[in-house]
Amino acid sequence: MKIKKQSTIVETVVFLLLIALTLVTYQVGKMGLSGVNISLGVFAIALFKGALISEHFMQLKHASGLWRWMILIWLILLGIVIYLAFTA
Amino acid sequence: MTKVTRYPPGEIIIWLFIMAELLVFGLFFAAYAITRIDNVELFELYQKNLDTTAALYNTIALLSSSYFVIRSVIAIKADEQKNAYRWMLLAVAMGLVFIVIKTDEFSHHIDNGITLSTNTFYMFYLSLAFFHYLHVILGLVILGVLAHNMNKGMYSSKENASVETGASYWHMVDLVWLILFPLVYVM
Amino acid sequence: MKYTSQMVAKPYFIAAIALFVGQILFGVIMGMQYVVGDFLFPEIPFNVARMVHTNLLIVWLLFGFMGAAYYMVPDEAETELHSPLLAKVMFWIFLAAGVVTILGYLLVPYATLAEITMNDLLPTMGREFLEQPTIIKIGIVIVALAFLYNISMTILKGRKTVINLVLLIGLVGLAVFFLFAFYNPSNIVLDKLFWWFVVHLWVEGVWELILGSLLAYVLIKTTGVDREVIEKWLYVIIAMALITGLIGTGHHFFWIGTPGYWQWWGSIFSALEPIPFFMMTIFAFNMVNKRRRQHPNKAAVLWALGCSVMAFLGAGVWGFMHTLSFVNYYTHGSQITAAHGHMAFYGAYVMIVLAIISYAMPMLNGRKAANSMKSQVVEMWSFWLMTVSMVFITLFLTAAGILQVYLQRMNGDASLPFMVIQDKIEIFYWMREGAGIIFLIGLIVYVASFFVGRDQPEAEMPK
Repeated sequence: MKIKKQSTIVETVVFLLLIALTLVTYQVGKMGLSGVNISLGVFAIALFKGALISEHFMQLKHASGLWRWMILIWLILLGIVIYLAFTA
Repeated sequence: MTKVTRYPPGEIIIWLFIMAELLVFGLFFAAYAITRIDNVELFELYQKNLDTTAALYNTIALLSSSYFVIRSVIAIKADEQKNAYRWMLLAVAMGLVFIVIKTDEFSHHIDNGITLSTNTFYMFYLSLAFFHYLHVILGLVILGVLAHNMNKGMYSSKENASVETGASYWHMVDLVWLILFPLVYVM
Repeated sequence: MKYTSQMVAKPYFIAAIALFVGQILFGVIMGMQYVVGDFLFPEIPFNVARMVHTNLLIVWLLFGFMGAAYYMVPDEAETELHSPLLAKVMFWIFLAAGVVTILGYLLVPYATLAEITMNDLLPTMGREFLEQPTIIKIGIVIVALAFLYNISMTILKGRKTVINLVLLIGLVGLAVFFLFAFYNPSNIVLDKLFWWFVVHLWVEGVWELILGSLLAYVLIKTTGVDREVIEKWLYVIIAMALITGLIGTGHHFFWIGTPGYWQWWGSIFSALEPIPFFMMTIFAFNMVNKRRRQHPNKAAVLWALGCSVMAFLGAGVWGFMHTLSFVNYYTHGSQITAAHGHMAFYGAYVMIVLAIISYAMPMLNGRKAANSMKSQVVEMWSFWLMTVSMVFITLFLTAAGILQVYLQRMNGDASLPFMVIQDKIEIFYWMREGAGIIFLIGLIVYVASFFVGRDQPEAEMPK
């Protein structure tokens, strides 16, 4: 009996989105844009990319409870520390 | 009604490693950001010396590699042994692209006489980048073993826990870089 | 006790406890010398008492580890020990070497000891904890190699369990890192760097593997929990120990003249060193909670649980308190260090050796599983006396240390000289000595527990 193959559409879309966001970050770096708000914006994008990895690449969207949240919590905590450090 | 725990993919033990690794990297990132507070000019000055374009290629390499790993996992779960193997080889190839580019970057630094003791920014950049680099190498060894085993037909839709375990580790390596790149090269 | 060769563990355990008593006697002597400076001077000067105290500690713990291995490995490997004769011979050699060394420290001026033992040929003397004459160090290596050979051959011919393998890796690591005691660079920075390859990589490295495997063994035996569950925990614990402890060595490289990046690497990695200890605490309590049976040896379970708690507190918490470089800058080499050192060593290594002795000795003495209730009660009294008094020793030294650090290093122009402050914190040293005496009493009670209730029936498993 042939196993029904899981669709690859979601992961492919997420991958392309990750590439696009990476190019945005790169452009910001290349253009030499500076300032706390730009930096925090770039980091927010990074955190969002991280969440995409944890949810869709690591498949944690299917996990329950703390298992699903552990990496998201890591991202949030990191975000808070970076925010405080860059606005100090 | 009892709650069913839905565990993350692969052996649980790898997730404990992943959290431990993220803890160490997280502390390092935090230390970087906190140290930067009193050294903004120094950090911004030397940050400009970093090769952001190389880092872009590296990010694309790791993202692609992670994507190929996912394609490999989906393939093996559908008993497509050959496809799974090919996707895994592609993943390893992209990982090797990262290693080549990063090694080149490091050798440039060495040629310019830059060491961990040059200044605080370089201490952090080299520590973080090198520490991550070692994890990429370990990850590639893991993926390499998985690819080799796939070629021998060791995995299937029923037997693939090892593949998911290795894949999870690799995604963590990717995740860490996704923070490192903007934080150290751009911000 | 399934294998007769396990009996070789008994002399090792007895020697361990005898040397432990010696260690504490000298500890109490030093505690007195802190407050009555010329106590027993010149017969036993402070620095000699210190060498005896620290060297006895290490040697008795090594006797304990070896005895533990000789007891555990045949049982785990399900085969007799490769050579009980070799184990017995090595016992006497190690004991003789240890006694001779201690007598050397006590009876002969150290410089003379160096001369008569031909230290000049390969100088290794004069470093803290590694004061042994070079020929004795060579003797230790020979004993260690014979021991490793014996244990390895036993494991090779029998069942290779995770506990056995982790124990073996830990013991091999112990032997390998001891070799750095022979490397004595003349550059002071390198001297200190490599010294820590012995000390840190022992107690915050391979000894943790030994600790983990002994704890896992005692828990499997006394709780009946599935071996697989315990083995998984053991893997994770030792992985965390190595991940944090290897680069964590850097927390000893802050001020010795190494490059500045060690302050970062050492702080970040060593900050995480409490994690394996925390996991051991959760592990121990979890296993006992999930136990399938009530083992009649309640004392052994008490030592195991107590060990996991005290190790976490002494090594984990107290260690963390002074591991970050910007804290250590002020506290380095103070009574805070002594506080941590005492509770960490007691909690992690003294207690695990006492736990394995507690588990094994009844059977080495012919019992089926445990001593009589009377004997166990006396033993449990000793547990509480020693553990609580150690907590107080630690608290008193911590208080002394905080005052010392503040008054000596953080008071700007009003900072006071070392001896002036020692006078000010004398009260804490008196209290510490009081706690130390109670510790000694606890140890005497512990020794008594081996002689009490011998003719009484074994404690039974509750129905």
